[in-house]
Amino acid sequence: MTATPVRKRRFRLPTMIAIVLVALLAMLPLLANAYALNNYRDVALLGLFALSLDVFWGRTGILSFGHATFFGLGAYGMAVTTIQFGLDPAWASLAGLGAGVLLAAVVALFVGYFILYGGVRGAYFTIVTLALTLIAGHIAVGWSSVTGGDSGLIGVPPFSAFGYTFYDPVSSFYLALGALALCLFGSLWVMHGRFGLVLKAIQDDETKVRTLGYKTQWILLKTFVGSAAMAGLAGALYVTGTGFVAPDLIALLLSTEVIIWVAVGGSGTLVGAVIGTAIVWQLQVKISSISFAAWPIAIGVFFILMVLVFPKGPADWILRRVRAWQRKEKTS
Amino acid sequence: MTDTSSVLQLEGVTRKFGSFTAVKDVTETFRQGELNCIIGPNGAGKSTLLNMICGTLPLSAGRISFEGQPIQGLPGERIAELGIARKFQVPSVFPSLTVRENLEVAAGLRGDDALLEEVLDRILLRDEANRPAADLAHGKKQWLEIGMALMLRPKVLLLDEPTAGLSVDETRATADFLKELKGKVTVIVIEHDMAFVRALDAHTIVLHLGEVIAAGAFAQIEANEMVKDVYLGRR
Repeated sequence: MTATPVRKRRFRLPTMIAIVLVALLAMLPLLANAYALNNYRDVALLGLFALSLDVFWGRTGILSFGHATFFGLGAYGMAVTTIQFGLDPAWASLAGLGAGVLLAAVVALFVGYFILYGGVRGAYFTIVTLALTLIAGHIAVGWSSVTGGDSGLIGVPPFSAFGYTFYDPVSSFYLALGALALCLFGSLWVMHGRFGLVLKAIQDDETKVRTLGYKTQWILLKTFVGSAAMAGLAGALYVTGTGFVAPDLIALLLSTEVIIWVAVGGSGTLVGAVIGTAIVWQLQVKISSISFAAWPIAIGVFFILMVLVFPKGPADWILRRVRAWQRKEKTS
Repeated sequence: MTDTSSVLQLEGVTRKFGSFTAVKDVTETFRQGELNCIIGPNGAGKSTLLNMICGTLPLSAGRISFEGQPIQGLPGERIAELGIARKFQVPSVFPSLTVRENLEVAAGLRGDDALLEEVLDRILLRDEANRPAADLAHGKKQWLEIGMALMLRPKVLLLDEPTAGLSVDETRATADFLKELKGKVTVIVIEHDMAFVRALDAHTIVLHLGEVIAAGAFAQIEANEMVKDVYLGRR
């Protein structure tokens, strides 16, 4: 067997946008105050969560309506490990991070194995994962001796590893940004390589990909588990910032919201998911400050526009325009 | 007993569906790098024969050997792995991938850049290499799919009506294109477009009611009285 040649990874537009975005975000601590910085940290982690959904939804075309499950498992994994077990604070955060990510990955592996190998695709996949969120949410509320029930758990310590505690707003912001950048560039690298290409082909015609000799269920399962682990990472870090965990981090509403964030940024672009999260968050703050009722109306209008004008989101629409323009430049 | 240049041998290949015999006692030898054409009216058993070669349909009797090894009864994937590729009638390419990306995916784990460039030239799509396959004309999609099959370095390429739905010009270009493959890969084409078969000028096998009634160079076949009666005469 000869070694598989590495597919040439050219610098593409989403990668360039990602570099600019991360560079700009890295400068935020110079401009923002502590309060704003804490908000930006949360947004960066929610952006990471949106990215995790886009890795699966955007690249396979299969919509998971249960992604809050994995975010929530990461959050509860971290909170329960650090609060309930009385571990040595020096490495409790790392144990919590490991527990959260592993929990999300194992649940995704188990559920994903049965539904993906069972041939469940499309809308049915969406419905099954929606049920998953409901079940996870009920467990979080019902199992109060471990999860704290409706009121959740308070007192998650700030993230601490190797003797350093990310306590102040600046360092915890950089922790969040670091995790986001790592996952963002990692996903872009994988998705612009052969693996991403095969995923794109599966989105077009899974049967044909299988006749070419690929084990498509395994490829989809790997993507699903990777996506869930990333969501778990986001959830685990999120609660070390806010200090508490509550059932709304594993609820259906969050599953819905993350879909909106990805859709706003344009599914499939990866970097768009992060931008979409920031835009929606900013809009929500602005519009809610005018009137509390205005926000649901704005979201509704957006959904209508999405169906009528840009089915893959505004970012995708803009990217297409840019590409068309580039092609025209090249031919003329 | 097999002569060295033979790649695929059929011996007494028969397929029955209940009391109906779709393919009856077909014995043929396909040589290395040879271009072959199987013709015959609808229902003659052409597709059934192809399905048996690529393992999607079991044989009722007879044997098929590939490079001297019997392959009947092997699962389709195994036969494909051995080097028998098949292109179906409806072109199936990945529309949102570019031509080049389609070939890359088709190469599977055996990715091979040199082969990719070679195939790109052979299927005459170099100028369209970076365009999405969705933009290609129907005929070029067919070529792309043949190219995807070639990425697996098959020894035998089975094509089911490659000119279905093509224009006259595209049909002629496809014939020229397949002739280019002569000497490189054994090609077996099922076809009933006579203009195409004439242009292909291949070793031709005529099936009628499941039986081979004539085989040989196309000129010979065209002159054969029985063939004229059952097939060519009915145009």
